[in-house]
Amino acid sequence: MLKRCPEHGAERVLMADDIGYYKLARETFIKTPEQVIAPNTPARYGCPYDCGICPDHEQHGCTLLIEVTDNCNLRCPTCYAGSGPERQTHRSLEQIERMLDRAVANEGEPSIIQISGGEPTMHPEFFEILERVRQRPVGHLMVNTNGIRIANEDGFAERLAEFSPGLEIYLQFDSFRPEVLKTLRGTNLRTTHARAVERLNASGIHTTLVATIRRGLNDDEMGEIIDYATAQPCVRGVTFQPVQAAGRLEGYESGYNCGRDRLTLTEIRRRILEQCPVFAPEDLIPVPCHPDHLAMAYALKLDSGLVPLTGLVDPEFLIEGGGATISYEKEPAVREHFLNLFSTHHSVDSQTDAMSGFLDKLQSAPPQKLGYENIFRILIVEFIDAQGFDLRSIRKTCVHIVHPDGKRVIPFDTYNLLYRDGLESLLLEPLRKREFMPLKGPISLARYGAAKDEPT
Amino acid sequence: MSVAGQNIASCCAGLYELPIVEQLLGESFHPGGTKLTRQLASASLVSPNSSVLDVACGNGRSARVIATHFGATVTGCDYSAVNLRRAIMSSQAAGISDKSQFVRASAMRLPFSPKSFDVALCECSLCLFEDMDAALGQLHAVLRPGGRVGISDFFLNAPVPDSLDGLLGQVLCVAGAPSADGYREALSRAGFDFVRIRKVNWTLADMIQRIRKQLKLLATTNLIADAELPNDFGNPAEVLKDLESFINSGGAGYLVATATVTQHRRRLDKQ
Repeated sequence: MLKRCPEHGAERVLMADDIGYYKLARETFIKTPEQVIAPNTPARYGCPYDCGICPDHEQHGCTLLIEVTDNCNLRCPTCYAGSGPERQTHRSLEQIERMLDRAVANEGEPSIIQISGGEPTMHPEFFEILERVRQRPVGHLMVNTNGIRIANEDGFAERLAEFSPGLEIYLQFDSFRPEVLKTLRGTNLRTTHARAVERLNASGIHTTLVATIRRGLNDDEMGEIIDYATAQPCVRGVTFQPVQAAGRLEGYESGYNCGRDRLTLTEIRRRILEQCPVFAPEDLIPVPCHPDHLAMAYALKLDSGLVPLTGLVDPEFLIEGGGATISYEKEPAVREHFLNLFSTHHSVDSQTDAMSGFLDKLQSAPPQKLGYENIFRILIVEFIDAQGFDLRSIRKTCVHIVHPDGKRVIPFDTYNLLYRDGLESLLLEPLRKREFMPLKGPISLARYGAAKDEPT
Repeated sequence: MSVAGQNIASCCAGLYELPIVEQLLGESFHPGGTKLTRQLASASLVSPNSSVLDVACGNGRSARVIATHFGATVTGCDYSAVNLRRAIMSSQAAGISDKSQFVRASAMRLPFSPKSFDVALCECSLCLFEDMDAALGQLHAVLRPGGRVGISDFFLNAPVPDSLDGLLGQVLCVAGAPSADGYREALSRAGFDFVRIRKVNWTLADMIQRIRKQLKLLATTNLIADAELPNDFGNPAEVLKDLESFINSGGAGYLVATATVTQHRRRLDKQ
């Protein structure tokens, strides 16, 4: 992408290094957006200065984050929220309820509420918060955690399990290597994460492992993380997120460098395909509600390993059927479709090679034994940062954060760039007040030494 | 096929040098053209960082796609010196000489060090090599662990009708092609894992259409001189008709096959 600024000049940023996939995302996997019930803020200054949700935002929130505290028992060198032990603000239950009510007002029945922070389990009234979520019409309750309390505190996982089913733990899980964890998290959490997973296994709490991927650090570990996740009974999927250049970004040699450190979705996708050859390219596809920034793969989790499903599903079905959501398997229609793939296989073109391989593998597990528990999800979530900021795309983001004021709901991406804590007065207000500066002439491609592209 | 491997490579490569062949098939000889090349390269995970080997690269059309569209570094090898010269010239014209090199070599004896490529592509030529197993063995050897092979080629599920056994049949690589399962088994025998085969018969329909159009054009402009057509070429229109019905009856088709060279995890950390 070529972009320019009247103040800083022009810049060329890599959006994707896989033209074919990017085109697929932009041209084929597009779903008609679904908006919130009613926007909260007027479109006044122009995108992205009106967040809250404004009427220009095309997508409702399929995952809404409620940040219940700024406090954290870690001080990760990579933290979009800049949380840490030194920050002591816990939001009051009243405030959290106001935020929850905002989520319900915007969405009617929010499909996923994610309790986040900071480290949400540090909130003194953590379980009471979960109760308050439960009192509302919320589809799924997610807790975004580093797992320290689950790992270290006897009985904590058991208390969490009281909220199952319908509770999912979104567990930080970046690496198996101590030095990587030290770079990303400031401390070696290797045994902590393993113990947390052990306890979640024992309590049977649905868990998604979340790996923050940094170029050159842990982008070679994704296959291993998927292998590990497949072997854990409680784990239902893995989410890979390249580092969003926002908040605290320490541990980079002479600072975060866009040209050197940026990692795009297509690069992550290819690494997964390389490290996990059981997945073919057609198994890891764009999520139609925000196709250029979300990718998904569904597989059957069997004793013998993963059997990819997405490549067997007609893309039309995913684009046309089901609601707009980041968690396709939570849509009853989609779930049914996945399960039907192996109960009524005559409905799928049985000539396809993938299908016959699929049926071969299924013989090791009789279909009647398979259920929702066997569906495994891989998700790539590339949050938009200043480097790859694309106004067209930002309007389609569907992971939103409920502002602590309880009045606004702001896309995750812009919240971390412009709206979090002091950013709004420090960064956003001056931008809003700035006069329009017209740009002169077109951006010159030649200046960037763009490779001579052949029309192919 | 009775001739030795080298001879087949040279006779076939010689055939492709005929101007009439390019006129009929277009610049990118194989079915599916550059569109299929892009699909094949995508399926083989070609990226800007890949080092790609294009076996039987012909005039270098695919190598150019790989270098420009994917940004990869590509080494093309072919048995025909004439084709190689054209490949080199066209890559210079496209401004990709720094990303491409071309080597004269037989697919049966690849002059590259082991594990030196990320991806090996072999378009519409594998079934022409006399010993397919040996050729796949060569590809397996030059790929690094985790590397991928991408093949596009004809498959034959029924014996070729006599009418297609002539030279045109050979130009179209039909004679002597294995079945779809034959490719799968051969790739497994050569040591590849995760073999995936996808049928892409649309490429043949497109190609037959193209040849028909070209023949019509050449006929109306009186450009087909008897001297230019080899004797055993047969009646092109009839051969095409026979070929079409043969494909539609399921006797033959075109496929894309990909497979992976096994890579063991650096460290399996299961608990």
